[in-house]
Amino acid sequence: MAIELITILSPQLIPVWFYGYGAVAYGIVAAISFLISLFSFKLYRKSSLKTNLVLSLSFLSLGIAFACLLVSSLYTYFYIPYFQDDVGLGFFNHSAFNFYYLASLISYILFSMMYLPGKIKNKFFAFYVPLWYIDWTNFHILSIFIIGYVLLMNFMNCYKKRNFNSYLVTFAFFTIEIFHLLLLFIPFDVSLYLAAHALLSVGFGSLLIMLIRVSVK
Amino acid sequence: MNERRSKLSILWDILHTIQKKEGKAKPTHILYGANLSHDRLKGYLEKLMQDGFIEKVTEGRNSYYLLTNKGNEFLSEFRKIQKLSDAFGIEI
Repeated sequence: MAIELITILSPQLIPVWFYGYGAVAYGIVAAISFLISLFSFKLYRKSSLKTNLVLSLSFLSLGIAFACLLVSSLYTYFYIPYFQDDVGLGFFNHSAFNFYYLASLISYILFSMMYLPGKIKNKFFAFYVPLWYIDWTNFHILSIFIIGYVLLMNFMNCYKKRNFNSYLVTFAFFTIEIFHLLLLFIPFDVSLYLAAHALLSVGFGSLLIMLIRVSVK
Repeated sequence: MNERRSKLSILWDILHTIQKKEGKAKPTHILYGANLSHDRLKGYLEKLMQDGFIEKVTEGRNSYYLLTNKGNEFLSEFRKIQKLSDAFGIEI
């Protein structure tokens, strides 16, 4: 909620150029997410492996989530300098953020489903839905919880496989975890917004390197 | 993690064994390379032939299995799947 509070209620708290900066970061993240989704979907069509499909859908959902933030940030960046009345801006951003919350959580749930044991996987709704309703307002805390599990599983994978690609993926999930953590503290220090977005971009850069390494014959 | 091989992994092991033998392998080599019983191997080889991944040729008293272009392409794609799965730590 912290980022939404700052964006919707008090846009004057942070410099306008932050939104331009944020838009660049969201654009990078969305583009890389769509690329991984497409790559994984192509593999699914050839192998019919469900894990490839789930991976594709989770990155597709994440790409949509960050595309929503991209549109919202661009709108704010170009809107604020010309209009003082922020009623329209608030409504637009509120809608964009709601889409972002929904798409992002669907993505994280799909990520975690890839690692859940078979018996629990089939009953994942019973596990997540109550959390969703209880913590809807605390989106970042819920995200930290879910991505924390995914990160733990990736740490275990790194320890087991010890290959460079697994380090890159683990680093990317680590940056997503820190991204949500830093956004929680924006009300105390607005500069954390810059650090969170820079870190997220670097994390997705590592996913892009992984994708190139995997797709090269 | 489940240590049991998936069907896809078994098909990969068979094709990879043939590829290692420069694209032409005897059934006994495939048997050891893919670590399968004779009956199970027979079933998988028939399936691979039906799908056009391998061809059977007979030279004198020996029979061999040849890797087709489609089989080579499958191996290449499977390597990508394996790399992606390893990167994310997900099972094939």
